[in-house]
Amino acid sequence: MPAPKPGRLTIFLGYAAGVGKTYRMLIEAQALARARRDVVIGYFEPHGRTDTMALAATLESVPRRPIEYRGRHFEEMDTDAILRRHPDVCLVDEFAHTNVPSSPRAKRWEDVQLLLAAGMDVFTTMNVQHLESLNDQVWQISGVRVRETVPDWVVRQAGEFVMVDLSTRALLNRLQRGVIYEPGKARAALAHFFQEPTLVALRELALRQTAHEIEARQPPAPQAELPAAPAERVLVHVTADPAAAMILRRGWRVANYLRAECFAVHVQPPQRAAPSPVVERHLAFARNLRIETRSLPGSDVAATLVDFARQHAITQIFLARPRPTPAGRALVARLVQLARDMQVTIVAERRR
Amino acid sequence: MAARSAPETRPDPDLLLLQAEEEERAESRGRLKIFLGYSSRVGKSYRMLDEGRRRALRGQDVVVGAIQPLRSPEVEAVLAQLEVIPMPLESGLPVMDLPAILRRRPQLCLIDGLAHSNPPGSRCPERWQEAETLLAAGISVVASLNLQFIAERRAAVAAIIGSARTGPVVPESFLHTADEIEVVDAPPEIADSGNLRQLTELREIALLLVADVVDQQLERYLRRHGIEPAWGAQERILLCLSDAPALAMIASGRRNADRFHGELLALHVAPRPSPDPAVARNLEAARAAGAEILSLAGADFVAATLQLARERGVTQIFLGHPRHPPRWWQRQRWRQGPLDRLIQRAEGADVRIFPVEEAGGHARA
Repeated sequence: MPAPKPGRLTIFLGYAAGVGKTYRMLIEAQALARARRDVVIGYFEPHGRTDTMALAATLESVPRRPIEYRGRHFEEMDTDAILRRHPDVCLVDEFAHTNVPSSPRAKRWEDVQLLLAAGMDVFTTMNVQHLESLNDQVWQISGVRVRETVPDWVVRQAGEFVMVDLSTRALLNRLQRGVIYEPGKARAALAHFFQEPTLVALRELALRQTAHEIEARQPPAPQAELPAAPAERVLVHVTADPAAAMILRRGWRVANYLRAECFAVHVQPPQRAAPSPVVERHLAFARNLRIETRSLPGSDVAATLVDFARQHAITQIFLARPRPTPAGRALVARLVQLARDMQVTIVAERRR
Repeated sequence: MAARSAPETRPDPDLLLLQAEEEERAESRGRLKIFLGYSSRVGKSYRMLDEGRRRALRGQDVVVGAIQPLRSPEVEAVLAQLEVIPMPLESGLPVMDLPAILRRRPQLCLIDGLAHSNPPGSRCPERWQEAETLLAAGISVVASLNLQFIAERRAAVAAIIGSARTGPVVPESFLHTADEIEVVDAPPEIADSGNLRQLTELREIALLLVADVVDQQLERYLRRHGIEPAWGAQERILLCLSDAPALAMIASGRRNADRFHGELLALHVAPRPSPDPAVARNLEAARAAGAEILSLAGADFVAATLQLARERGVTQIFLGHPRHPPRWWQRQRWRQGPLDRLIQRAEGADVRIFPVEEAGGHARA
């Protein structure tokens, strides 16, 4: 049997709990159900909100799968049951959710991949702060290091994006009225994500990200009015430095905006047989972002990077800010000297 | 931009005046909220009426002042739950009954289709001016607005849809007086049968316009609370210009600012105003590329650049390769050089070093 045509993913994007992502998703699903499409709720997180629960009650739901883990009871989406039921459209709340350990798949977005591959359309919800490449920016804005992230390439697969907007004032009113969380939890939320400047900045980030996502989905113009910008290729230097993840996210993001190819390159001393476990972890992180990785032997780091860059027509090299040591400074000084025909970007540390 | 707590708060007389003025205005004036959509039939009217319905349920005194004649069943269903001030006909067209609303004095008036011209001879030519009258009288307004009718966006909209729209407009400055603005976003398929590409471009403009309004609100909030802005949601690119050829770097700055939908700034630092024609040429090229031009007097390029970068929330600093780079073994010279100091001290801003250009050099993104 030939593989079915993959389903279409629609992401309802917000910037905080309580902006109305699930509500909006259910409204759109109801409209589809009225148009006689077979719509089923695969997973829904009611959060005790009555209006959302009333909406959800009008649609068929696939029961959740109970899981016992370390003596405690959990419930996860029952992906196998949804695959058997096979609706036209499946609603899956909280795209960034991490499944309980011992689940067949670690992340809910991996479950969604199965549903899409089986030919179902999927509606899902997520907040902008769960996008992997924005992790540092979100941390800097909010002081919260978000652990549940979705890789950008997964989000890029979505056929459609919808911004679920709400003014921060309206959101804070909802929080104070107890619509979003019960009082104790609301107070805790006010102390963290729910501070007004944080919310305003996250909202702005979500609006810009949605604009970027829909622009990225726009087919090329029939006739280019402007001369095409030169093709860009980005190289990110990967080391054991803890800042490597941040440099990779930043390099990836810039490459993404410039529609550039991106490479992650580590230079290892010739006496070493393989990259250290720390470097290997950073390279794996790069591969997870779908960045092509290389590990090159070389005793002269700057010269090895620049040689590779020339061979691969790299236009921009991304480096971490060097430690203020003679060796750290020497690498940047030498790279700046050797790569006089390229752009060299030293990524600043983002602090709060 | 995001917030960074100021280590010390300094009382600024301008700031205090601004605060006092804003508070005074906020007390007597109604509050304005706008639902902005990129096209007709994206659901603006529904969102506006639904907000009115929910506020009425919470005990607010809400009326509908104006409603569009063409309505979906969903809109009719919400409308039926609200009090509507009848719209009398003038020259055969329904108009908002401003005197009746003022007599009725609700807490909140809903105005659908904020961009609307009244027939000639009406007391108030434009509906947004009537909204302004209500706000001044202390009545709050929730309104819907189509992006395509914002005066300052007309040219951009015309360029996208290929024909100039005529008819009513609302000035963008009125949007900036809004206490709240929300974008009503929906995929084009379910919005309108128009050209998908055109609608997508309009959609993008609407999202970015609201992002800009939100950004300005955040800046005002931070200023009011004496908080210094830090690295945030919008990319801001700072071009550092000297007398060295920089046309390719300026072009790249423009392209990068466009791709990121960010701001472009250009800075020249000199101990005293420079009559150098090479500097003037660079600044002129940056101005032509749409950069905001800044000239600072100062002997210390690094300190002046970093201070400006901090104040303006710059995320990327662009500058040229040093023309005479130290040989790599001359580490002492590098360490004392401006580039090293800039790299070591730039907080929250990447430093991007560009290839050395010949005069009239070629561009690279």
